[in-house]
Amino acid sequence: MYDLSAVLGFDWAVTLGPGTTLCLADTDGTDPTRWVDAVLADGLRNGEAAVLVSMDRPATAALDDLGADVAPRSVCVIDCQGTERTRRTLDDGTFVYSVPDADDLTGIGIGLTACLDRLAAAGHDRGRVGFHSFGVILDRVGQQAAFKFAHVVSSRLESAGFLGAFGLEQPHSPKSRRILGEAFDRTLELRQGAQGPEGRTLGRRGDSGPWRAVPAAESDR
Amino acid sequence: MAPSDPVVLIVEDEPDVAETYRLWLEDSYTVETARNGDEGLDKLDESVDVVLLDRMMPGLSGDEVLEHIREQGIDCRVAMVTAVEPDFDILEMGFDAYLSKPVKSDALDETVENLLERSTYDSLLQEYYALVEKRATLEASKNAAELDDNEEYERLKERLGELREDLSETLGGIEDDEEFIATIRNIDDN
Repeated sequence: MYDLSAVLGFDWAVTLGPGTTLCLADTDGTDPTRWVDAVLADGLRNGEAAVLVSMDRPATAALDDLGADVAPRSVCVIDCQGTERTRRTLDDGTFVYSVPDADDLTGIGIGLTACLDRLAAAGHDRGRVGFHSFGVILDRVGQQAAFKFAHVVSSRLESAGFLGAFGLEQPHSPKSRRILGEAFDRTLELRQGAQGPEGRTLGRRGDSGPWRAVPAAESDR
Repeated sequence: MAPSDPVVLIVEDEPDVAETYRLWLEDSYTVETARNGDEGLDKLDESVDVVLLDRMMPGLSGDEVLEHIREQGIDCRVAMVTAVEPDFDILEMGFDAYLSKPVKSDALDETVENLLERSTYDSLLQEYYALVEKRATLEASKNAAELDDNEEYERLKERLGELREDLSETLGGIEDDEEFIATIRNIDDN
């Protein structure tokens, strides 16, 4: 089981089964990246592995932003700002798979496979996979392909027993969120409240629970 | 074979080998053969479900035929038949499976069956998306009470539940790397 209570605060977040996928949907224009980073950093602190899929930041900057004390063999990065599909190892030993664009779904899939293989070889059977901004993929490939991709990646994470966190930026319509949300186990809407970060679960039919404080997303920055 | 059987196209320049494959497959599938890459492309249309493609052929090679298939966006699954086990990263290649020569009857059966299962998965996923989209449209246009009274909405929910189950049972829930990549490649290509 995965415990995300330190990051998300909700009762249901205490025991999330292997393979659970969460959509972290920002509602007020705040970059959803920080929520994804908080989920991954929390896992790293608990000795779990992490795979970070970064759309708009190079691997090294994305790793810096992760803000955790990262052991290189615990973290892999898929960098969507490469020039072609390549694999490399940074000076500190972190594995990076690059793809030329966030619309290269096959490349991201190959990268994810390579990262999971590498983490398994390093003895990790638990970990979290974070997509910084799934909205970039949605914008690039369209709703249908993005939905199918999310569904297939979720199935793969279920087989691997990893947890998935998919950041989604604000401009995407409520309908689009509901459609994409069907590919994930839960959608959590997030915003910056007067007292700090707040979240609520998005129900079916677009109804949502009440806003409540979310503990740790802010403190990692 | 019956007209409704899945169609397998064998592209192979050695007639004896092609005939052997045909004998193994024709009880369960409609089998077409082509003696080289050009003929293979001529015979390839939307009716073909699986292509068995010899990699080394005079004229158009298997790799070139595969490139044409992908470029034209023809919706079929391709198993490359190779003389030696590929030493390249097969995930990076565009084909869906490979078979090493000499191909055995059970390996051929298993590969074709698996590729057809992947096509089934793709179709289920397509239907699943279409219904999720339809449900979201209904949810956006009706209030909760209207939805409760809506028979179409109830049927949609039921069918979506069945599809979720079918998807998780097909391909064992995508636990194999090759199946994972081939499924995504199909999303990318369409």
